[in-house]
Amino acid sequence: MNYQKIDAALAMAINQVENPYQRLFIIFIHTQPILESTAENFLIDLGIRKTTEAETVFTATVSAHTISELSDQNWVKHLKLSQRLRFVNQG
Amino acid sequence: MRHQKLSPGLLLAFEDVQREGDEASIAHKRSLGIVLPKTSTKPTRIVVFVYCDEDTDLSHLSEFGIEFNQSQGSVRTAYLPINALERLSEEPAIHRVKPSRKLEMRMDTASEKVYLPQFKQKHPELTGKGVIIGVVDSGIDPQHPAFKGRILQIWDQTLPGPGVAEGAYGAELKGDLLKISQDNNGHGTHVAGIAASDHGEFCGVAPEAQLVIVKTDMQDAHIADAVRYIFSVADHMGCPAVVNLSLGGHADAHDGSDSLSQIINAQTGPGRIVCCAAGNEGNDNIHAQAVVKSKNNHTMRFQVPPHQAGIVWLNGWYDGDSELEIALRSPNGFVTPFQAVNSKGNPAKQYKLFDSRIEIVTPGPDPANGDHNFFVQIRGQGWGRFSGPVTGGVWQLRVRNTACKDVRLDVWTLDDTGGSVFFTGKSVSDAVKIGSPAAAKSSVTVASYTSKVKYIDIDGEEREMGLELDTISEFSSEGPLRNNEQKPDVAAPGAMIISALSSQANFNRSMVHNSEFLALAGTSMAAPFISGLIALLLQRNPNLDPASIKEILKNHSSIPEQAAGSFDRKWGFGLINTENL
Repeated sequence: MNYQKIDAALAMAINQVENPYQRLFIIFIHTQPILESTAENFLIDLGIRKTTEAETVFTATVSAHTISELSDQNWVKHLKLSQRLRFVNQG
Repeated sequence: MRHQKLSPGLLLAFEDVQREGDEASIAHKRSLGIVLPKTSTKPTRIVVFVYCDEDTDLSHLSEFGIEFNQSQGSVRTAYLPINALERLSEEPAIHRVKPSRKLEMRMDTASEKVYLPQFKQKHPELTGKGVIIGVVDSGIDPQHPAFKGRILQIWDQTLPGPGVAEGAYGAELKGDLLKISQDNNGHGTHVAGIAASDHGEFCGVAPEAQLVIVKTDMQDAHIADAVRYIFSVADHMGCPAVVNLSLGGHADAHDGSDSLSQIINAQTGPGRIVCCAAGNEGNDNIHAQAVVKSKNNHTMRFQVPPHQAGIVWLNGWYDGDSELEIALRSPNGFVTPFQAVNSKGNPAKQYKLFDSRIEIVTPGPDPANGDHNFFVQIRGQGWGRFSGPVTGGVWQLRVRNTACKDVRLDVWTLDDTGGSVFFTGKSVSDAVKIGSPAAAKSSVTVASYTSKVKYIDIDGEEREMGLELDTISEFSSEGPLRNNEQKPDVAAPGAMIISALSSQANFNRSMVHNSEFLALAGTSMAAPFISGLIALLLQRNPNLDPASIKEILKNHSSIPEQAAGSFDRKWGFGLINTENL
């Protein structure tokens, strides 16, 4: 696991997981601009297809194990945990 | 007199007249259906709703001057001398008597305050036709008459299904299948109505815009997918589009560098606009700021209510060139050690105090913006996933600056109750409370203006909210961003706004105006007002990009008693004035 590529919230969440192979984490994957075929295949295996060539931020639901694998890829810049938002009405 | 049959307002008026004579009814004339006599020889009369047995014959009451407009039905209207209310109440078949209300054109209050009727008079052709308004929210009531025939499709992310190209989850619904998706929350229907309703007395800003709805599961990664989806639909149809996001959070850097904001920036452009609510933390001390002197410690205090919060988080950000060590002190005096930045290994550590469990994460600089982010999680005593509430009382976040220069620290509180943990003391900062996605550079970020504080509920009762009228709503979150960029952009009416009521949602009757409309407040309500306006602008010029839209809105906004072009961290560039848009 390359902790320099994962944000604080994701590092905290990974620390608490019991089953590292359970797909528990909704994340953003920030990549280098140009991806080789191995990288694209990795993303396809995660259910991600690039819709435009310029896309460098992807979303996926993954396990802690996959996060570890992703963090070790040189084409991955960083990984961020999705946060839960709220509606902004009063009451 | 059967007092319990009269509604409170009516009983009050009756008793005032009994005590003080007809003159007392003048005060009530303002709101009740009271008809003052033309001469002093005639009695004051009143118009009322009468709830009675459906087929009962009430014609015998005419000898008391009580005239009914209907001879049958369970709700009838009547015209009678005010003193005859006593006889009316004695009638066994009558269950309830309510006053007729003097109505005002309240439904147009929001529009009037921003001169929208004048704009529409000048530009009757601008209705939002040919523009897509995307609403990423709690869904929509697809059968509400306000949207009939204009909901193109719904991506319900909460339903099981194969999803769409932008996200392999949820179900995409069109046509007859739209009704499978439900808005049990009601927020999304209300928001969509503000932007695009074409029904009844509460018309939206863009009543002919088409709607693409995403019912979100509230994960910001899936909201990002939703933005991509809506713009993809718009690409396919060759239409300009504006996406409304009346949602937000505070687990980000508050500088627009978060992932959702980056995706919004990448997705927006000519004919592709995102409009966000600024947030409703104007009254809440969720943000603390301090300059931590070199080689010094600093303490920030925050209050946790007893027995409420299951988890409390602190989200702290400071410059990447500095390094702070972080510690926590519980209300009972138990402390963690100071934890330094760990740039290489696992930056997360757990501490079990006598009264709590604490995790502190202190990684190296965040790759997105180069700043340091630390995260603190506090849970009550327990084990594994099971824990009691977080200990109530005053907690301390202690920081130690080991570097040779001073550093500014910003921290935000989050909790699982929706907002009950707040900073106290000198570190409280009433600013920098606009988080993602409102913090996105390209998003149009909207503050709330209070255009109305009273409305009539479904039971005929007048409701008044404790807000100051005709000014920026006190709950509207303040900017600027953490990097001092100016946000919000503009203010629009956000309280109290009457809009479409989802038939699938349960609201307290005091909020319901009638069977189709509901009163809500928030920057959630202000944002779709501007989204609707943007739809009108895009209809006129489909190539407007975010910067152009913001410039147009800025040039047509103002803050009362301030020079043109002034910026304020609560108002943005001020209340929109649409008259000459």
